[in-house]
Amino acid sequence: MPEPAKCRYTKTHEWVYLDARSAVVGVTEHAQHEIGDVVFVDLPKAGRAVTQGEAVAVVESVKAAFDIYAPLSGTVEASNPALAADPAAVNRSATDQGWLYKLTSVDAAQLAALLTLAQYEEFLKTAA
Amino acid sequence: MPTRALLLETPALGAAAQMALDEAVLEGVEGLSLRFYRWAGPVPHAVTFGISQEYDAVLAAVRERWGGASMPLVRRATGGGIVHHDGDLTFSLTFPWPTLSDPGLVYKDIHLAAHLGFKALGVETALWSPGRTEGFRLQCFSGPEPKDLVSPAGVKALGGALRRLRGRGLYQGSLRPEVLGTGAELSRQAIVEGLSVSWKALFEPAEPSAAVSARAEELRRQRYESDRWNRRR
Repeated sequence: MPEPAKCRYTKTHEWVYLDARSAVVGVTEHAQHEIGDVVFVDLPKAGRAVTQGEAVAVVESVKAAFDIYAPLSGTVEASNPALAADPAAVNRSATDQGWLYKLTSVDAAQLAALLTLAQYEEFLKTAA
Repeated sequence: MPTRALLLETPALGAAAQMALDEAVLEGVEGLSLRFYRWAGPVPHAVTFGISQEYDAVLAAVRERWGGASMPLVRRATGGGIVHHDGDLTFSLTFPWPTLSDPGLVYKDIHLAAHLGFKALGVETALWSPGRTEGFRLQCFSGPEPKDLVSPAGVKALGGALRRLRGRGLYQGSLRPEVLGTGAELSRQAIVEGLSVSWKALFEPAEPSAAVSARAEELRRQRYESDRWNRRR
């Protein structure tokens, strides 16, 4: 599980964690709580090139579907295969087992410009 | 001061074109808009189903429930279950949804507005509140879900589904006037009245812009009429 302080965040409630070879992306605890019980996750396919801010995934809870945006430009390396059978992992473990997809070829400058944990927490206070 | 809102007047369309127009309005109209569908043909006879539903399961359910009737099956941009449009009053609402928030509360707000609109016209309804349920129903009108609008006898009259995209929301609703003992026109008045009062909106008739119409046409051809979209899973 990535340490929250080592992740970066977006104002659209995605987290991103840069591991040894790729950037792992998911939705934040705040997002999963607001979205509610997740019943389906539609994830981008490996090899797809995505642009920062592009709607690339859909998370559906009972009655509502939410677009999830790419926090960084890059190429999708893999999506979380476990979510097809267990979409509720997004609720149980948004920042670990409920990760959505991994990106490669990301821009370090884009990553550095995302919110830190402290900035994201401050954003939540003002945006709520 | 009421907020200006659009009451979109659109031509009679098939299911794919209706879905495409809703998405184009979601993308291209700011503020609040309300649109009552006019279906092509004397009765619509179309089925729409939720964005994440499995096509084969939908097809099997449709065949079991409505036999071999030939009708378009179109995947919506919103969640929820199967809706057979066979005389329902179908409508869509787009609205600002700037902050990620509980969709259950948004759903409740919309249906509460409808409830108050019907009440103002002397028609009793209630919001269904059975408590927590597990998952969602394959078919939308097989029974009420939390915050659906129901008749005094508890029969589902209005259900809907939501989508949030870039700080805006789309609600697609299906209302059965006969459950409430009303006609389509009175039901339409109730929806407009309820939203006008509850959301402090002043609805003005309008047509979609040329840009929205062009985008809808593009979405109809490229997405909602395509097997790639409708049979994507």
